[in-house]
Amino acid sequence: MSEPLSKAPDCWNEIGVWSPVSASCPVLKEVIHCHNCDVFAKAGRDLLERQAPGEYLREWTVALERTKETVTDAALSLFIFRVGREWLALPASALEEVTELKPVRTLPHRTGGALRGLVNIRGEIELCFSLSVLLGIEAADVDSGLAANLAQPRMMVVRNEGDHWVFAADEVWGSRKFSPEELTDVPVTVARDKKSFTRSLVQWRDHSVGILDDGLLFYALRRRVFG
Amino acid sequence: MLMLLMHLGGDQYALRSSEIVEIVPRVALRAVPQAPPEVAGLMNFRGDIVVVIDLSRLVLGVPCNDSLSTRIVVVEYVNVAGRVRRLGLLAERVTEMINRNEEDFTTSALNLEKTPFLGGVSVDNRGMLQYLMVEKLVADSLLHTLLPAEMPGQRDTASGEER
Repeated sequence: MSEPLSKAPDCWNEIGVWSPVSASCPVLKEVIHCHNCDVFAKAGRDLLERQAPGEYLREWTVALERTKETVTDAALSLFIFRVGREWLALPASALEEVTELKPVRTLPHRTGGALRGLVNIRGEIELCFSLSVLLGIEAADVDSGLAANLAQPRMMVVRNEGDHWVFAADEVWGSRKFSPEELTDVPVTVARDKKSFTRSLVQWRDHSVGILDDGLLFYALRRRVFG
Repeated sequence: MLMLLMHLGGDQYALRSSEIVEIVPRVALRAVPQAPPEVAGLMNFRGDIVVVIDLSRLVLGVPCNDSLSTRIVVVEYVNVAGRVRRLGLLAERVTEMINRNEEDFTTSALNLEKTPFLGGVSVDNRGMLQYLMVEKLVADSLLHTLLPAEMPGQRDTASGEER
């Protein structure tokens, strides 16, 4: 049980699928891949037959002392993304998909506003909007670290009342659940701003994330597009 | 029936998975003075004080080894008073789940009074496998004094010594 690891046979590297010469193991005919072989599985389990480091023991002792974080049913599932220097969130249920950046076909006489143009999403022509123009968000400074990190810009397809709307985001983080107690109100000065679609704020990592009021946002977008 | 496979010494034992709350790595345990040797200690399991029994010590008389695969299986049982209680079981090589039917376990001819928690034996290509019954383990005379049924709350399990 406590054999040194170096002595364990690594047949998968010699006659198995990772063999540099040829996969000549007779068992392969039956199991097809070493992953399915009992020998491979046993070798994996034997890795655990090592003495547990003291640090591991301590780490788990502390980890188990904490009670499990339970999120109540009333929790809000939010999708977090970044536009310019602002971190924003939309209800995760409204999000249809996140895709890579696609070319935007501009519309004649409708440049410069929040409507950027048309994009092709899975063969459907959808309207693409710039949240930074709509919300008046400045682009991230080059030296702020936000622009310099490895995050890739993405396009988000958001559904509202049967319509699809596409927004470009500079970075997409993903979705997370927040409990209602975590939400804080927006300062009055911000809330009065006509451009503000922020319903409430939530603290996430080191950022204050603005939760967009999707009802208000799409109402404003509809008015802009359909007049 | 899904079962958790564990080893005590060189032998395989299985536990019904429906009784398991969580399988956690071995942690630092608080020693219980004057406790029987099979009591490995007390652990703080997410705020609950849970008594941990060293199964290897209980069955074979030797403590579990300290390898990474030696884990604490936190099980839940209903005591005589009808309360749901938790118990930690320390066992070796807790790395696998298996599927077995209850009928696969044939009761061995031996009826060992001292180990009523050991049930029938099942045979497969890896050898013999014995069924371990949590409810009997708790009802066992020794553990009965340790985990009194009428004590309210989890925290009282440690004070069973006074009885």
